[in-house]
Amino acid sequence: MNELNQRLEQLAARARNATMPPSSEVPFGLAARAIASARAASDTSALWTRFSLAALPVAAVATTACLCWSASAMGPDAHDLAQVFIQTPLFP
Amino acid sequence: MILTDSESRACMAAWLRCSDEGAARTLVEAFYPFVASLIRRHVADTGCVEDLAQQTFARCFAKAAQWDASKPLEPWLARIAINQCRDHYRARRVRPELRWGDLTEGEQEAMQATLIAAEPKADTLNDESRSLMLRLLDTLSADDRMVLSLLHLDGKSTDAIAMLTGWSRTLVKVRAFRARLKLRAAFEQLEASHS
Repeated sequence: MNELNQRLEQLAARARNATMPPSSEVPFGLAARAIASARAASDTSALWTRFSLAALPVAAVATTACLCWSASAMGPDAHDLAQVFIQTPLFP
Repeated sequence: MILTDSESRACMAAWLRCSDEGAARTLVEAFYPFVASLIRRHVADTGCVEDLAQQTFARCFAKAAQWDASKPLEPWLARIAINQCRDHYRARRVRPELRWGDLTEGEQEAMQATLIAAEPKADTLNDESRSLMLRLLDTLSADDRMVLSLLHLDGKSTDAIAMLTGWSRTLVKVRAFRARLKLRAAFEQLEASHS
C-alpha cells in the first residue's frame, strides 16, 4: 500500500510540472455572451419577482373576501356550537 | 490587462449600479487568463475551457450582488470557476473504467515509468503524466475528482480547498482520504489490465 502511495505521489509530482499553454487572449465574443447570459438569468428572476408581487394583492383581496363571507354566514347558533365543540374534548 | 483591487472593485460597482457593459468587458479581459488557467488545470477536455469560463463570468455578473466588496474579487471568481468545473463533471453520467488499451503511447510510457519507479529523463514525461493523472481522476465522482485535483495537481492546502469549495476542513480531509482509496483502486485496476 505504501509503495502504491509513493507511485501515485511520484505521478502527481510529475503531473504538477507539466507545461500549461498560456491563455492570455479572450476568445472573440466571450464577454458579450457572458453579459447576455447574466442578463437573461437576472431577467428570469425579475420576472418571477414581478409575478409574485402582482399576485400578492390578489391573494390578499381573496383572503379578506373569504373571511368576510364566512363571518357573515356564521349565525349566533354557530358561536354556541363552537363553544360546545371546544369544551367537549376538554371537559367530557 | 491587469487591474488593481480598487479598479476591479470599481468595475463591479459600475456593473451593479447600472449594468455597465464596458466595466463587465474590462473585468472579463482582466480575469480571463486567471479563470482559463484555473479551469484548464482541472478539466481534461480543452474544448470545454471556453464554455466553462463563459459560464463562470455569467454567474459572476448575475450574482454580483452576493459579492463581499470588502474582499478581493479573485478568490470569489476562483470559487465560482471551481464550482462550474464540479458541475461539469457532475453532469457527466458515465465514469469510464480505465484500461491499458485506452491509454495513448505517451500515457503508457508515463504509467510504465511510474510502475518501475524510474525517474524519467528531465521533464520528458510531465505532460503525459498529467494526462494520465487526469484520466485516472476521470474514473472518480465529481467531488472526489475535485478534491484530489486541487490537492495533488494544484498543491493546495486543506484550508485553501475548504475556502474554495465551501466545505469544512474535516469534510475535505475525509473526502480526500476516501477519494485516494478509490484512485488507488483505479490505479491497481489499470496495472492489472496491463499485466
